[in-house]
Amino acid sequence: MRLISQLVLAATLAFVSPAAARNVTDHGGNVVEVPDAPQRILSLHDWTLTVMTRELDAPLIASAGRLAPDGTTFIRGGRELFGLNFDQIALAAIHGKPDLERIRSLKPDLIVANIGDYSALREQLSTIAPTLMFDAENGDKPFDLYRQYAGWIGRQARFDALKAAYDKRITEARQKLPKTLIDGSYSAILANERDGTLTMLKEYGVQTTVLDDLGMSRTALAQSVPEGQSRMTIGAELIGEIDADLIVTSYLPESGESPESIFPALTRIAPGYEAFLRAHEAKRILSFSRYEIYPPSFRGADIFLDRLEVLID
Amino acid sequence: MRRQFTLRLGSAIHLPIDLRPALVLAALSILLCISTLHALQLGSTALSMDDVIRWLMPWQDADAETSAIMLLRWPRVTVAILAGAMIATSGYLLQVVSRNGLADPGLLGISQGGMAAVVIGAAVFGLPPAWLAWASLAGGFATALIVMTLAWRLSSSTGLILVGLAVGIVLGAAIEIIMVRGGILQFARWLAWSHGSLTSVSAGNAGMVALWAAVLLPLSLIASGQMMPLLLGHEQAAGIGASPRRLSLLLTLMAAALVAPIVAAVGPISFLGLIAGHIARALVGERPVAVMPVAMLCGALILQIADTVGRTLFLPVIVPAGILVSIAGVLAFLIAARLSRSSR
Repeated sequence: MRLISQLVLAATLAFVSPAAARNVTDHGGNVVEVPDAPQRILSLHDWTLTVMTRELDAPLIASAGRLAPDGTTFIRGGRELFGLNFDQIALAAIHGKPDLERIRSLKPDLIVANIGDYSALREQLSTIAPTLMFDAENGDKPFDLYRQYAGWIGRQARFDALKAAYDKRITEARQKLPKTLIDGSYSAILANERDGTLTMLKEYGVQTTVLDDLGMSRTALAQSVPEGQSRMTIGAELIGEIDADLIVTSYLPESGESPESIFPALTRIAPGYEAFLRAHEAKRILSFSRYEIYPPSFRGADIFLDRLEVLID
Repeated sequence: MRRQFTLRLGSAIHLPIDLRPALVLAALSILLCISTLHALQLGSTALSMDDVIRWLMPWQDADAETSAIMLLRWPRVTVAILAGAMIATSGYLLQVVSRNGLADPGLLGISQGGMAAVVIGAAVFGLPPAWLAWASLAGGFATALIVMTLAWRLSSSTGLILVGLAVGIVLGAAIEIIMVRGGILQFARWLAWSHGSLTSVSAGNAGMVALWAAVLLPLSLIASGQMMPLLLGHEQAAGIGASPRRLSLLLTLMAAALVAPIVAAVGPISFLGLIAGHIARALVGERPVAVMPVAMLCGALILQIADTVGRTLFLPVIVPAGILVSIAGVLAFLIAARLSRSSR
């Protein structure tokens, strides 16, 4: 009897349309069968995957979030760029501390996770729903990664429309911004006061993407970041190597930082930096909210361009 | 004078059994059973005890919902029990070998050896996750061999600890260098793993740990019958016909083997090897044959309770079991230090 029921089940499954699913190779090299048009996407990384999914108008039901100092939860990047909060979607996990049972109870039909935090959990997550691993820092350009992701979740057309609008905006910005700036070079850095080092960024969300697309060139040091990596830590004695026509960095508002925080940080890391950075003399060391410029997002690119035009003016 | 009773199996087999260790073992076993049932019941999704018991009975049909939840819950409960027992055993073996109550897999550099091998394997050679357990085993073994070789000619009982600490510091520095060279995601991955969390434990991990436990835990129990002379010191042990150096080497390798698969599966769990041995000695005295099984049960109980508390008490935040064990370990030691001072 059991054998008959198994045969009936197998025969029924054979008539299920194969078009309902397709295979995707994720950044971990895993071939995953995903729904053609997922209806319940659960994101486990707020300021990359949640932001992209929201911008692509895909059906996002839950996201990982962060704990604020007052104990409330928020969606880093999603809150700043789209006003997204946990009244609109469910909390899937606190960042880096996943609860598999909670994730399962949300009944996703597709889970998207970043490879850095969740590669060890892939096997367990895959028992809940098809799971795609995304690597935001594998050295590829952020919008190339974004395009790949849009393809994974079946939102390529929406991505193309957003990209076309962005390209138009870049053309307009090139007319507005000074030619001396567009033809010049830039450095994207992070200042690490804790250990007195600097991080040279090769790819950092929309910040580097927009500056590249405007036509600015990179410094020799930025070009020396190893293949497959998006950043490199350097000692303070190399501060002269970061000099360029424009130096951009970012700050975390949540930690009480502001656009001005970079200056005391540079003073502590490399005292006297003012004397040998021409970007400082030209008042072109600019700092932006990391929540807006790190996520791969066209909304973030727009905001960055708006601020850049104002600051350069 | 010890109180004993004799277990008679037929006319030929009469086993003398100490009453106190037997009672302690029975009490700890009952506690472990109760805590296991609660660990299987508690979680983000509510289950009744009836559901849990029905799922545990292979001849009864459990509903699909319970089975799906248990697919996530049973591997970490199993690994918590086995890992706790294995780390506790490893710690106790090292305490006997070094004749130092502070010995622990972390203190002898064995955990760091496993960690370094995992980090180098993943970050430098790009080993897939399935190979990391073997990398950790190789790292743990290699470190144990290095520590034993370097400490071979040191006659002091603290020599092994000092060499272990030095090797551990060197390996810790090597891990730091690799992390500094890597990207931020690599560092995030390392940070999550280094806290000793059972969140990512899968059925495959549980199977791997169970396989090692099935071999090593019975071997440790058998070895405990040979360990008594080591408590006297190497010279006295040699004087009564034992081979302390050979036995120490074997026990140290066994301690490394016990902890290596745990480091690969869940990361390092600090303090557990240390406190389980102390609690066991406080409960049943110094005889290794009595201390060893009690230490196993204590370790299993502590890690399982820490994991259950960490994944249920602070929701939606999940606290890694390794952090809770460290906090409990520090508190236990402060209390133990206070008690020992007041008793002097």
